[in-house]
Order: sequence, then structure tokens, then C-alpha cells
Amino acid sequence: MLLRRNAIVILMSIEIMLNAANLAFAAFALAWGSLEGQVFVFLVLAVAAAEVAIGLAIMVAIYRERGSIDVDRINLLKW
Amino acid sequence: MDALQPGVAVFWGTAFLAVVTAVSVILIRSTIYAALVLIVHLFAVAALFVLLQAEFLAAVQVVVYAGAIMVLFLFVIMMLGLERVEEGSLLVGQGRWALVLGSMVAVLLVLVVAAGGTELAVGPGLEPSAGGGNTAALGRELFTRHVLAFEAVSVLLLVAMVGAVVLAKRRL
Repeated sequence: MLLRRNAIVILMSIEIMLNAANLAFAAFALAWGSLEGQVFVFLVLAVAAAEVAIGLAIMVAIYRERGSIDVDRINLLKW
Repeated sequence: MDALQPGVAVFWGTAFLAVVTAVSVILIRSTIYAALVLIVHLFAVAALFVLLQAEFLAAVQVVVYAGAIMVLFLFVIMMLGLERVEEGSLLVGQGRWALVLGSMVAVLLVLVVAAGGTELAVGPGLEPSAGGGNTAALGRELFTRHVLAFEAVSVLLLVAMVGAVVLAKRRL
């Protein structure tokens, strides 16, 4: 159930979702007067950076193998 | 409430920009234009962080997200030569489902925000005068009560670095 099949755009959409979660954390940190929400933003940011590095490395390896990053064509595990 | 009063018009403008750029990332055909629009989105989110009195997070967002992660995206896009327009149609049949489920999530979020009220509690950690500003307060919180998570994240970053190098090598 995807709108775009380009794997790079899918990775960028994941970054948008992580940003949305970060905004929610920061907003509730302000609303509840606790700094713990901002600490979690910091940690989510670090996890997002690690995930992007690994995701892009996987995309590079797949592109070298198959010549395409269309997720509909990366279907070797489909039954 | 007075923490938000001076920035109301700025907030609506920045929020509108963030939403429009986020939607544009999916709708723009060219991959590299989508990446550039995502950079604008990350700057808008950083501005929203400043409005939420999280100035250090805004700086980290610009430096790490827009400055490192998006540069990595652009590097990979240009290295693999993906700036061509992608083939095939954009809405591969699930556009209607996306609208229905998306509007359900939007209604849910509006209900959550409306039920919560708009009073702001002021905790000791958020006062800017509490010794050094937002950065020092965040540092104090991070290195005392969340030091285990901090160390775990540093191990995670090391593992991610090694993994990315191994995965992208031409010959193992």
C-alpha cells in the first residue's frame, strides 16, 4: 500500500514521520513542563541518522545488484 | 499561554510551510527535487522547535538533519544517477485509501489536541534562566537521568557506521 515506489522517496517519507514524532515530543515537553521530551527528541534524531545511513547503504547495494530501486522489483522474498 | 503569544502568526506560517513541503516530497516526480523540498521542511520544523522553546534542538536539527542526513541523501541520489524522472504513475491505485485513512488520523489528532486543553505547565527545566539556557538544562538532563540511553545511542552510531561501510563496499 504505497504511493511511490521509489525507495529513496520512501526513506524520505520515513524521515518526515520521525520529524512529526519529534515535534510531538517537543510540544509535550513544553506543555508538561518537563525536559524529558526534548531528551527523547535528541535520541530519536540520533536513531534517525543511523537508520538513514544503513538504509541508504542498503539502497546502494541493491542498486548495484539489480540496477533499479523500484520496490516492486525487489521481490525475491515474496511468496 | 504567554509563551506562545508573540509567535502565533509565525507559527501558522511555519506550520503551513512544513505541511506543504512534507506533502510535496511525495508528490514531486523528480527524486532530487523531493530531497531539496525535504530540506525546506526540515528548516520549517527547526523553526517550530524554536517556537517550542527548544533552541538547542533546533540547532541540532539544522546541523544534523538538514546538514548531514540530507547531504547523505543527495550524495546517494547523485552517485547512483537517480535524478531522472521515475517511470510509472504516481498514484498506484491506493490514493483513495490514503485519503480515507489519512483523514481518520487527522480527526483523531484534532480530538486529542482538543481534549488536552491549552494550559502550559511550567517546570523547572524549561526556565531559560535556570543556569545556561536550554542547552545546559538539556545537557544536565541527558547526562544524569538518561546517561544509559546516551551510551546506548553512541554504540548504535558505531554499529551503524560499520554496517554502512560493509554494506556499501564493492567487494567484501
